[in-house]
Amino acid sequence: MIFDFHLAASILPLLLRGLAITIEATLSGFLFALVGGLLLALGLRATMLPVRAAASTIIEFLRNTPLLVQLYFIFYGLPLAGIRFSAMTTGILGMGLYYSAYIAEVYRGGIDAVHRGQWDAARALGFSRWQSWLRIILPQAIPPVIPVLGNYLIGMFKETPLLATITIPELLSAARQITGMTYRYTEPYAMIALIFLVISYSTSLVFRRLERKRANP
Amino acid sequence: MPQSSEPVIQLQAVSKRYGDRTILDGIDLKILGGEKVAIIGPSGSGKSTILRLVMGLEPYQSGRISISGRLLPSEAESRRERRRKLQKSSGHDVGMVFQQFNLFPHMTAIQNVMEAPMHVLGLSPSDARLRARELFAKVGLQGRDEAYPAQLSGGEQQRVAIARALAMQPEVMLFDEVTSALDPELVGGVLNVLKDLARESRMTMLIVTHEMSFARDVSDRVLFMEKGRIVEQGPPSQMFSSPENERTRVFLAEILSR
Repeated sequence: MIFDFHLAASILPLLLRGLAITIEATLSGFLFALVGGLLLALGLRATMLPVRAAASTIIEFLRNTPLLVQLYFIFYGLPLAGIRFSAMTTGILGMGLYYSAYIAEVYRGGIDAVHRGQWDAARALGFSRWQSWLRIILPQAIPPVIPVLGNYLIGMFKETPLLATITIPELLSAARQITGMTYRYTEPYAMIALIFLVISYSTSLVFRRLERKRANP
Repeated sequence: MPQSSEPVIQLQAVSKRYGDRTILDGIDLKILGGEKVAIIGPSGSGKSTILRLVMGLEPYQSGRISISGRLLPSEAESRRERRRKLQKSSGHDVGMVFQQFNLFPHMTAIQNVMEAPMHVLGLSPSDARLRARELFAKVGLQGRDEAYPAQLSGGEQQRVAIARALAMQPEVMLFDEVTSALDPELVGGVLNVLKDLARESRMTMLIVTHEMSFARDVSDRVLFMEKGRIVEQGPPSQMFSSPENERTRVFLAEILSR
């Protein structure tokens, strides 16, 4: 098995095109999950019981079914009911929803760690429930969980090859396309592994730095 | 001290339970406008719970609480009704200072004080800042505006908390063992702030404390509580020199001999 550097260089532009799509899907999906997860976490703490029940049902459903099945359901199942999304929208929606459930639990940990005296103080000053959330509770709950959110971002990035199964031309699809044309397997797969490694590791370094900065500002 | 004859706080047959433990057992209490009332008694007697109920922080099972005519409904009323009112009940006619300060750790001292006047009362930032500065002078806190709570001593934190509650200009102030979490050498300073406040202000004050000499100096009336009931009440001169009830005598003898 010889690694052909010449071939590697020639397929790099193709792979980078796939990478751009991978990154787009990851960042969009993550943004979706950050917002969706927050809504679910707030839902778990809602005053109205039906809202709490709905939030926890959604979380359990998302966490206890495989992401691949969810993606297939949205991409191949929903169109039968007349609901049709493009492959990219499906990917962002599917990954975003799936990770919302996990990220909701992360937020929940942060929210639970805020001392209940903070709620008392907020109420004693006349803040509404929403004001208390936005001004008092969340600004304390979120910063400590940022490193954990970072882990989920990296986790999500590494799950993106699943999107190849719903025809999104991301990194793995690009590598497969190359193997189809060249019958070379070593270079494309080694290179996408390397690309995943470099990006995941450097992202983890960024989050580690953030965490250190927070610990000793 | 200015007092009106209208009760500002009124509790009628108020009872509260946690599971099968009774915390408050049929409390009747009327507090007049401007009155300073100290509540003393052993831990677990329900002193702090009265404050939390008046503040609307917790539900109670039966009875009736009204503050300046505003009703804080019990659980016995319909759930829907209670929820609606509990949400709103945090009216800013009542303010509270807590044993553990409960400052907002992500805000500086002055932001802690400005936050509610700006976002609840709608003051402009400059007016809120002005008000906060005046209050800091009043509670004896200088040059610490931009410090975060974690950078302040316990005594300083509690002064910020007092200023924060005062900034809402409430009719009624509730003080829940505000010196219990302080190092001994810091207690006196904070108590002096409260004494000055009690002397100068027309606010109604309800003070839960373990500091007997402070209770004597600051209050018009002292309530002694035990096991969720008000056992005895009267002016401080009488309560501390010749209490009628045996329980009160035992409690005072014990705490004053320490």
